[in-house]
Amino acid sequence: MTMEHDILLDVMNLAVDYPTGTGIFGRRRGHVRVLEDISLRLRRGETLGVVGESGCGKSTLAMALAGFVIASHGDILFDGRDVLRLDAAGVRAWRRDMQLVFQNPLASLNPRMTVHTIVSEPLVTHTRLGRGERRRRVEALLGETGLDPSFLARYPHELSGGQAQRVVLARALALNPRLLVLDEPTSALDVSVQAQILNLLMRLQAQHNLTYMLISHSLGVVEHVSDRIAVLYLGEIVEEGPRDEIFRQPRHPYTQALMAATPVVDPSKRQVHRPLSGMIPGPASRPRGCRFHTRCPRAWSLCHDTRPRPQRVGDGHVAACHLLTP
Amino acid sequence: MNTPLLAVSGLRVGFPAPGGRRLVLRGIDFEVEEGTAYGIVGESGCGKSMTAHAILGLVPPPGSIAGGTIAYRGQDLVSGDPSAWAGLRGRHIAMVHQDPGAALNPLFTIGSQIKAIMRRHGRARSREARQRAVSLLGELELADPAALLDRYPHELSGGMQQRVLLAMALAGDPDLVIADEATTALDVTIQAQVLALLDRLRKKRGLTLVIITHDLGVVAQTCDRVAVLYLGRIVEEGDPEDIFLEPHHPYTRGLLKARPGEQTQRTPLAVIPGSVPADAANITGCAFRERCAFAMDSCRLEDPAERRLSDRHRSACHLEGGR
Repeated sequence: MTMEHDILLDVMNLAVDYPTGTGIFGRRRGHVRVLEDISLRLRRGETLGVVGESGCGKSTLAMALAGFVIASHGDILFDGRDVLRLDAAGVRAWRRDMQLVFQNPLASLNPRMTVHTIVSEPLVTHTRLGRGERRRRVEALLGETGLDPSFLARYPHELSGGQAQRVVLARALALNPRLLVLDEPTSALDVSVQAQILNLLMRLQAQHNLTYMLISHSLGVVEHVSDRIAVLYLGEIVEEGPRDEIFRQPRHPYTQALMAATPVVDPSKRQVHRPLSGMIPGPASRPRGCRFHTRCPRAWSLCHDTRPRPQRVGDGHVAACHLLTP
Repeated sequence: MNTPLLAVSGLRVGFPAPGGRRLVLRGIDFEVEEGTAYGIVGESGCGKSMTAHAILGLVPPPGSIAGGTIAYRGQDLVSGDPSAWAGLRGRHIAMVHQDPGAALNPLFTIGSQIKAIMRRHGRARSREARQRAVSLLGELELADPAALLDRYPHELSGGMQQRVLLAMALAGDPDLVIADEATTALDVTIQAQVLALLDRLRKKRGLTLVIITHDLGVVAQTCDRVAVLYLGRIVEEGDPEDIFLEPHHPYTRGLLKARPGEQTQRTPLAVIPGSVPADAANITGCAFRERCAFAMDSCRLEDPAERRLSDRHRSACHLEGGR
């Protein structure tokens, strides 16, 4: 089985709460739980795909890893270091080791900076490289992401979506990170450009031995690039396991529904099943018991008031559903 | 065959540009039979939404229709009286937009927005309008429709807003609904609900649909005919079986191969190099040739004419045969 030193990132029982409005004098009135009991492990060099629909907490997970939102509970160990309890120097090191990439590349780039300024900014902040060395490094980074030096003097508005995402990736790689958290990195791009960026991500991963957490609503994207997959619903992991197992034998009714609802391009396989009924509840109105029972076609009395625990259903494959209780 | 409900022929739409006019639609031809679903797919900038706006007579200025005909039940709208066209909008041809948040007025309740459309098209007097709005929302499987009428758009989720937009499109009891990326912003499980709903409405009311999307899967699952658009031109048209199982045009094939998932795990995806150019005017010959792996000399010299591959399958490419 997995050796401890293979694990780069170990998330244990992570919970995140958001305050719901403030009362008079700024006192918190209450909070909603947006992530609950999240436990995940990323091995070095692997890609963990995180899928789920709106409001499932995918992006909050990325924000919690980066420290942009404060975890209410749990631990995050990166290479054995507890990143939720770091001193200032530790935080700086963590910022170098882990980089975030967001969905809309143009919104991630300062419109008043040239590509050169954008990509060299982390080098200015975190390294003592001289001007000439920085320029060489920026050119090399752009080269790795498929952009020639003619892009150095351009501004973000002169870039296409695909080019902008390449600039974002060049900047993310500037400090030789070990972990990239990619939050819907291709969702804003056209299919043909998405394919280019996915290929680039896989090439960079192989060349730099990077570890990826790739967050997406698209099962196709996640199936294509991931080694392991975690399925989130309303702030909880309902199923997690090796990619092939999840796709060939999804065990949780939500994973099954998600797959059935994804349109395939084969017109001979038109969907005959009845889609899931009902809306996705908001985090403030999470159902009791199993969070999915309000939309689950197979829910029974136990599901209404008891939360299912994750069960082992295969090698490294867990799912949280009462139907799977032996 | 009877007169198609909608027949678009040689449609060209242009915008003024330095040194002349820039065409964003360069001659679009297609026909939609009554009671069927017609899919238009393509990437951003290919002219999908412009086609929808042109059918409604709503090309945003300074753009204008530069040629061609748009016939609704055999009557050409382009050469006809503009007020006749305006009379069709909402009442006979309705549109559902991509972003429901932007299409709904935040200051008015759902009920008043739906009732306004019914009154506008003389489909109901005030007294009946509420009753009809309730039954319409019920038909769209929205829970507690009577209470919903008194709520404001911001109180609804994206999926509910999209259904309300659909209800507004149906409020004038139209024959043709154009859905422009109507399910793109929705989660897949909600998208599946809305697509199933459209299909049921088509069968129940005999509605005709034009579904515009970038998602090949949505079209494969819902449409009877499919057109692939590239830079303002239909490069391939056929039945779903033709387009998805035996695609001919290199662009269609490239789009299908670039889709991740299904059997592509961790292998490099087939890529269409480059991206959609901003303008077809600077490209001589075939507009796709600079990105095409099969480009030949003839592609540089002339823009390929449309070729019939079978009765119902056509492609605008110099390549021989199917594959």
